[in-house]
Amino acid sequence: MRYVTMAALAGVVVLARPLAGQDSQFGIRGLGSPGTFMSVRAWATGGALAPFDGTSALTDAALADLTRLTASATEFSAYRTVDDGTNSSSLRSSRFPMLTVAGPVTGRLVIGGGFSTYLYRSYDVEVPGVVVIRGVPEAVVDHIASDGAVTDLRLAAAWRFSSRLSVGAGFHILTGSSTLTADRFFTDSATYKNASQVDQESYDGLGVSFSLLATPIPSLRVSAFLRSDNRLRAEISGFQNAQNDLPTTFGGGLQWAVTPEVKLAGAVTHANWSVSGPVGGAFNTTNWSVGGEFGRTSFPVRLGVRGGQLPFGPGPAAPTQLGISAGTGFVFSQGRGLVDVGLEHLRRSGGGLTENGWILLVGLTVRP
Amino acid sequence: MRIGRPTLFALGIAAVLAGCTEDATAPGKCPGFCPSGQLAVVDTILYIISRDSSHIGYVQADSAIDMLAINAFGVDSRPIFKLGPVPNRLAVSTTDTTTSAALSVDSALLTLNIDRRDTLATNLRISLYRLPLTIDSGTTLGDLSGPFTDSLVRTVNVDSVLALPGGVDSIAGDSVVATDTTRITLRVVMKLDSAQAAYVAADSGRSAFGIRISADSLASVAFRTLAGGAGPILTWWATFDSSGTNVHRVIGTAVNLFNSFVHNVPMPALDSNLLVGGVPSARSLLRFSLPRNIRDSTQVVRATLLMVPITAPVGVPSDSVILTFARVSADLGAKSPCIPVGSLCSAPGAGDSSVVVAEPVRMNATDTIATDVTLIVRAWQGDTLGPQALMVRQLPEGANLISLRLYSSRSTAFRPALHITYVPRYSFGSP
Repeated sequence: MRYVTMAALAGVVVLARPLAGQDSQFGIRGLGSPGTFMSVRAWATGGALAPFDGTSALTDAALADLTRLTASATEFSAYRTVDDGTNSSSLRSSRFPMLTVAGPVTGRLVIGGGFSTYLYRSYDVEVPGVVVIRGVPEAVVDHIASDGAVTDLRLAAAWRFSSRLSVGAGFHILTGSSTLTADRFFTDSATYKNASQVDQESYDGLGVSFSLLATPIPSLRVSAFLRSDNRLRAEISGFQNAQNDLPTTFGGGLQWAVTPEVKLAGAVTHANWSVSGPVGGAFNTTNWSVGGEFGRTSFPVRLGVRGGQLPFGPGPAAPTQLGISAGTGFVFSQGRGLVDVGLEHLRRSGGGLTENGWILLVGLTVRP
Repeated sequence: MRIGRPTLFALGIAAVLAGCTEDATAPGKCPGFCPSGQLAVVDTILYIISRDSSHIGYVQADSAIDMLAINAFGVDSRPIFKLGPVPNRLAVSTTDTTTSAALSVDSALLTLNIDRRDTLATNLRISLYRLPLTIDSGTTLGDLSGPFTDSLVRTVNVDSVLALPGGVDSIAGDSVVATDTTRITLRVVMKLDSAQAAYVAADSGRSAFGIRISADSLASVAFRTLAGGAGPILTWWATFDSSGTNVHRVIGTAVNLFNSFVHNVPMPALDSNLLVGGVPSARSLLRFSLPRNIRDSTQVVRATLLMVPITAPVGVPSDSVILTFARVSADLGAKSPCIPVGSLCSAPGAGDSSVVVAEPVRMNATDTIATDVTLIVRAWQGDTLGPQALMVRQLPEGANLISLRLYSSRSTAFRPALHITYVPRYSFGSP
């Protein structure tokens, strides 16, 4: 057994080849690639459990389910291949997209907060070309990159009116920054010096969110949520570089506890991202997810599927995405600690470009 | 064989850790999957040089690193130098410090170092003349017409001696040795007998000589001077009485006290054009006014300074003209110090072409002189408080009779220009 473990570990390390993730080529021309606001537990169900998960940042009302102080962190490594029909590239990245801390203040009031990634804004594009300078064609390679994200700082509270109804509200501060790089490399570097420009772009914005979580019958839970963000302002060196409206997002979810060891859920989210960009470049998105959690709480099996659209991309229609996920969790220290792992295969396509890849997820939840 | 939970978690964590590296670079599929902005290149010629001026008198012939001996193209230049005193007494015995006077001064060896010559010159001959001890920096060629006519000491055919085995003429006692692999630089040793050396006790052995060269063609030689680190030296030999036995000893080496060269090239005169080089040397100061939008908001990828000579430099090929363009730390006109402060605006630093660059000028041609000053312009962008000015001088300074006259900003058609290629500030697109 020990040798099998070691061999499997070695195999994973060696075969961990660049393949997909939350950073996406589809966000380059827009504001970025939206975050998921999901814990690893919810992510492994395709996001179907996110509206009912207090360690996710999707809804505030779900905080009411936390009966003790709970801190949760999410980390993922994404491997993706980008195929534009001509070139295929293997990319990889690691992110720490979410941290939540929440706990009850009184028997009915739970407050929480933390950060999560609102928009992923990392990309790195190389564009070769030829420019004619002083009458001579010169080969160049342009290298334009962004490394950063828009982060959502959340302060939220949930109130449990009864065992059947909870409501929540949150206040969101959008912040963060990206390091922007633009380089032009000349093949004839003896004649032409390379040009390099680096700027720091910072973001700010505000948002509010409201949600409710109802349990009409003991085995059925219903969630509804609404979030409105005002605008995203970007500044470089203290000067406003851009300002874009942000969408209003709303959605709902349904969770059915078939038995104590079988939970099925589904969720739908809609966001009017079209307000964020010019017509033809930004699209409203509807995303859905279906999934479930099976087995004992100490060692569940989670499965899920999610799909929908991405808000930014070239062409007349929004790019689409489809993800299939699975995962499990491991309870330790008499339930005070929980490690969740997950794996998602994600495919995104649109505008003649396809991204395929895997996301490996690890989450740690501590309940002291 | 069952894989348990610890295995699964270990696998997951190991896989995540294995992915903790970034590789986000992908070919851009433009325009759909590229940032909205595009990098551009602008190429333009700027006439931004104004208040350019020339100044003369920096390096005189007597402080140059070379003495010029030229006998070609109507140019007649002759090195002159003075050698110091040597006592005619010596402690002959190794056990007794008592000195004794020389019975006779027998001979002397004059060592000269050739720094530059044209290897195509054949039958290069060095003629040594005795000059009066009164020579100084004010001495002219006309002043020495007499000694150069009637005071020939001897003549050595450099090429003939160099061709001998080991470069040694065992009969005459001369030798010519190449001091580098190119066989351009030579050490010439001329033996003078007692009459030729003519030790004058009243002058403590002080002596002065002049050199005139001749060759079948291309007679142009630069002798290294004291300032150049290897001026002429004269080694005296004498006979002493050592306990009844005559012994032959070196009594001393006369060091170079003064060196210069006299010539028939008139001193270059300043006019509305720019003047660089010559003897005494002239420099030109070019003042630039880089537009603020280029200085502050672009990245210069190439900058070429264009200057047009009025007349072609004429001389033997080895008398190549090299111009240096040095940044100044303060614009004080003719007295502008170069960077680093205290430097002589001289040779390019070790690879630091953001401070000074050099450009050779073709002989016998009036081609536009195009000098790459990219790193200098970039340095001006980085140091916006420093003066945008270049001091143009010849290298080596004061050791080349060829002066270069260039069109100045007063010439509308051929004024200096800066051909500049830059990348404007990239405008990152939305958010």
